[in-house]
Amino acid sequence: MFDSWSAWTWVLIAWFELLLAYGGYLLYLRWRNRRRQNEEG
Amino acid sequence: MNTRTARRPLWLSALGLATLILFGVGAILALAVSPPDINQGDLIRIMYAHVSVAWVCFLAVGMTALFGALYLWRGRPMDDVWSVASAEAALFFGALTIIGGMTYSKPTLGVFWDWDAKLTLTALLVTLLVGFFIVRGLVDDPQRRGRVSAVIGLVTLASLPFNYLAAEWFRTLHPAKSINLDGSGITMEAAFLGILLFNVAAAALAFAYFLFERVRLGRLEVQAEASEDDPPPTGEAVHV
Repeated sequence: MFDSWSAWTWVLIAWFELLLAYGGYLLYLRWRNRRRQNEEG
Repeated sequence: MNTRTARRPLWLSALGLATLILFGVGAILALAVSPPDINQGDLIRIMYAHVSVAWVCFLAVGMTALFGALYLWRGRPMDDVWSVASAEAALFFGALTIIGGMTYSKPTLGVFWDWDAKLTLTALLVTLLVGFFIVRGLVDDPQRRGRVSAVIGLVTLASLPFNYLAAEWFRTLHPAKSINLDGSGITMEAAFLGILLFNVAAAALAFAYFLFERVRLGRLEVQAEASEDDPPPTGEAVHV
């Protein structure tokens, strides 16, 4: 399956992973902040 | 201070913006400016993403252990907050190192994973960091929780030298380093090195932003816990 993938496909996947992870961590921080605010009422 | 309305300071928002810009420029340098490698071709562009997060993972582990050691020494709750924030970032960058490494390994070396020394030690590092949080979840007493997790942070740090040198000691799947801190020199070409260092700076800035933001939230959580444990007096006169 993967043998047919071009070098650029792998490159774009690798950089997309980074983008997705950074965005995901920011969302996690936002969720944590909202949870704290809700707990404080 | 009302923790509910505690706002993100301006400098932290500016740091976030700077991180975003540096990440964007780093990606353009890697994807559009970097020349292809004579052996790897365009796959060299993955190296900038993979190596930068791996180095920052090491930095985050170092900070986890540093603040853990400070907590063991001084016992200040904020040292524990810094240690936890660093450990969280270390786990994040460690997991990203493994996932990015697999994405780099498959097209260049033919396999996603192999239990060679470097990869196994990186998996161990991530496992120790997962253990850091599992143990924290099992201990109720905040002081004991901080002490136990500080020790795990120090043990994780102890694994770093072996991880750093594993690719030299055991020449199996993972390639040897191109930048050696022992003075034996840099074998990477300048065109690649400059872009790599730029991306390392971008990843380090992302780490700094995540860390400061996480510490800010951690501080507010500690303050909220403290006010729950020690509620204000209810209408009684206080003579001072």
